[in-house]
Amino acid sequence: MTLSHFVILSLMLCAIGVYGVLTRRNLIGILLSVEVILNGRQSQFCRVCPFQGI
Amino acid sequence: MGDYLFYALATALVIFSLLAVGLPNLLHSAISLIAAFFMTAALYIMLQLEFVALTQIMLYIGGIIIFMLIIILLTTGLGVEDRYQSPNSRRLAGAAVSAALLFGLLYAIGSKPSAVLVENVHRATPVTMDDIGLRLLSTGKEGFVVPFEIISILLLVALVGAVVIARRDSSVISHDDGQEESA
Repeated sequence: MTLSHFVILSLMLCAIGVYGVLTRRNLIGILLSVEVILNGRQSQFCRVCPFQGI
Repeated sequence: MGDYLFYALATALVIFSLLAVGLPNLLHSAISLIAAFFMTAALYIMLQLEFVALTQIMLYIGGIIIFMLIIILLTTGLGVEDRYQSPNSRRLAGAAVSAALLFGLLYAIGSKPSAVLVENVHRATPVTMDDIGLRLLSTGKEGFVVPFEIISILLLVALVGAVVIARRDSSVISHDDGQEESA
């Protein structure tokens, strides 16, 4: 569970969300895909936050 | 043991996110998004971030997703397929763009490993929930009570504004014959 694993995981989540934003044609579906993007972003933040002095 | 748990959780998270993005029924996608958020909360617990995990469950699952479920049930109904399916060419183009984004970012981050990826920086002490509560409500230099109160006022303003927007203006309804003199 190193930092690289989390970087890869959050990038995959962001790519999945971008795919959803590009392919959904319903506004609520686009909103759900944006939530997936934000989920990836937040998991990355939470993995980095225990480090100091970056 | 921890590594295998992480791999299992990450695989489930990716699968549920794919389902949330790709399923034709919006109700099913919202439910799989709930599962994806639970997996994320489990990952936060593995990182010893209990407060963020609880916030994830209470705010995202209990607030935002329930709100979305209500919107979906009010607008489309139970078990209704999405009428606006995108064609296969658009799906292919979206997959190509997102794969290009993924591998481009992976290459950009992996080719120049920064101090973050090397992971030799100093680890901070873990923050407990007591610390968060004390700092959130303490006055003084380290406290956050003023932003806390300002956020409360902002939420109150949003609540009143939602009521005002949702209220039907009676003067507009009474002057229905063209001359709307609503102030």
